[in-house]
Amino acid sequence: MSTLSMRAPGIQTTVLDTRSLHVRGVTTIEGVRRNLFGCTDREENRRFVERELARQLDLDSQRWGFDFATETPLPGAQRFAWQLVPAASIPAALRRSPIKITPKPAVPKQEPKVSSPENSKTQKRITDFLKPRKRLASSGKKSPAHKHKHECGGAHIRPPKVARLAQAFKRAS
Amino acid sequence: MFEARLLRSSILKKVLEAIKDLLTQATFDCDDNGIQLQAMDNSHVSLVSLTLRADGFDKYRCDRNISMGMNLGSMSKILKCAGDKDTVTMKAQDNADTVTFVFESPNQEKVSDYEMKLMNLDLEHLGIPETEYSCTIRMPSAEFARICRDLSQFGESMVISCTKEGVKFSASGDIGSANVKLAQTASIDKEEEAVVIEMDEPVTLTFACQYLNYFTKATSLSPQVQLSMSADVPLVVEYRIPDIGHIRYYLAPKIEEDDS
Repeated sequence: MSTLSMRAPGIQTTVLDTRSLHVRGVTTIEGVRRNLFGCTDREENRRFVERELARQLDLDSQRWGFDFATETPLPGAQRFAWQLVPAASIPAALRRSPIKITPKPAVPKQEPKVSSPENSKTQKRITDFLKPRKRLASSGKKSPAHKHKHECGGAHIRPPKVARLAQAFKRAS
Repeated sequence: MFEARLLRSSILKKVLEAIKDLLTQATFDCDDNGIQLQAMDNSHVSLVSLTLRADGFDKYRCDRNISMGMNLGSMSKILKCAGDKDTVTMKAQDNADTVTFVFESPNQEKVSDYEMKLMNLDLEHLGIPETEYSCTIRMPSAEFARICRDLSQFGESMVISCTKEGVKFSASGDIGSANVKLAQTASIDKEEEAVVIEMDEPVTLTFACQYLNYFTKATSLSPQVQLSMSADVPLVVEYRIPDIGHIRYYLAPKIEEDDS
């Protein structure tokens, strides 16, 4: 029993000498894999990941002026003013689930900062003042005019949309 | 059959110049009374309302009400092919999906026709309520264009403030501030050059300069412009087109938002 024979499907039979296995530090053979890049130090990897995550968190904190670990705004003058909003006012898609609402009295209520006085005014839309109404004809291409009697079959009697508009404009002018 | 003929194509050319920067497409609604166009700009901040009365045309025939959706860029290209003194005729069949523009030179030696495809536009119409305005200001249209152009260098917004002393246009921004005050003209020698203010209540409103500058593209249509304002409603900028109709622009104000 001086040689060990391993057979894997599709792979050439490899013959290993137990002596050479001993030399490589393999004493008990449970499974054998090729080790191309040396042994990994799992502890070192974990520390690396933790260090990177902490660095990233710190960068984000500086960038947004917000401590994401404690969920409080950073003290001092920051680019952004943070405000606590109720979870109900946020679209469901953006909420973490399940929602845990923990009141944070530490968060100061601040008004959003305004860079220039112009921005304090909001541009309204014309539809905020004038009510939309659907155009009457769906095709938009033709609309029988009831003024032309020779055209008027019963089915054709529909209010001409433009005439109504014209009346509105006459009144307005 | 729809047919409308204008002796001077310049009116239609100027109308297109006045709307084509603000609107990309619009529906021309034609009936016995004339041609109407109503459309909002893409951002829905302003509204254009154009009326060309049938009696202002040299020939006008509209057998059936017809709504023609047009790409205003294309229409403008076609109208640029007409000479200022050419006669222009717009024609469309009742169920047509095209409209034809015919240009005739004054001596009838050159006749050109351009056919344009129509679009099926499903645009929203807005009801424009009858409104009594607190202030109406009539002033030379060129003066208004100048003020809008000048003040837009200072900021994005312009404040129009109308009191019994007169009307004040102001803007402020990074480089500083600008104020233009106009007093009512004392003696009206030439009606076209007069500044006339009718005021029930003083009004101060803020508007985006960008849109006002679009509106002043209509300056060549009329020597006078009329501004109508009431608190917290859209401004109306009206240019009367002599003998045929008017173009009105409605502009939503910028309003202080309560964050409560």
